[in-house]
Amino acid sequence: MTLELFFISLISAMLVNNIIVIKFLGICSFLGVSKKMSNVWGMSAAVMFVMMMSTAITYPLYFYVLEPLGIGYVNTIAFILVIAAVVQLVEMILKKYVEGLYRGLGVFLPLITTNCAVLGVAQTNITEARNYADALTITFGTVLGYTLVIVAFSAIRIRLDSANVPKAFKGMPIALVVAGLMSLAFLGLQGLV
Amino acid sequence: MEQILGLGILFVIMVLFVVISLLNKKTPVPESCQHAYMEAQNCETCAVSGGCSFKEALDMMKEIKK
Repeated sequence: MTLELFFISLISAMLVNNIIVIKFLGICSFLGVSKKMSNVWGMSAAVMFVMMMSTAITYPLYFYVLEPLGIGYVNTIAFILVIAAVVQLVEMILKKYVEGLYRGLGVFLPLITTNCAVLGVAQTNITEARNYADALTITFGTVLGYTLVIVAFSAIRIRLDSANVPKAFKGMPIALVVAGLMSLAFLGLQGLV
Repeated sequence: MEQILGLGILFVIMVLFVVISLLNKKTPVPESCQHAYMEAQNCETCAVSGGCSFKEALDMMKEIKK
């Protein structure tokens, strides 16, 4: 994998095909967790951990097990099961043995187990990634894009709390307007790569 | 034959998932993490304030009906 290809995959996954504002995956966590900045970092770390781990497992599972055995069509079910099983296993280990890490990162794991963004990345990788390293690069770029958008959105929401917003727009309506404007801003990056 | 082997592997993954889920449910959340856990699971954007699960949504609908 060349350095040029690495950066193309990274920028493309992070900005051009941003998982939240372009693909509209993982919206629940994007809106639900972005109220507090401290939660945003915990959630982003948990998403990074789960996505990298799920890609590391699902990509070889598809190309070395499911596809050669002629059951590539069950990839969605297999991916959901594998992701949920692995995440729960990690959560259990953290609960039992690493309490500090569980408090910061583990509490968000149940939210991510059923997050469509994780499955979306696993599915995208089997169709778009050129090889295993490219799949991991795309996943890393996706997580960076997720973190960038959710941190920016959280910062705007915190400022909006003290802003003079009309009563009808207070809370979720103005947050959705901001999300729409962010999506439009990211659309402007379409020709970047 | 290959397809049966593949479906067998899928079945093993399913069993593994069920076993891990049960073990995870049995493992209690540490006392010092209870507050952080409750705060993280509170997702007000998913249709119902107070939680994201289908069971919680049903409980809330029952309460509203009363």
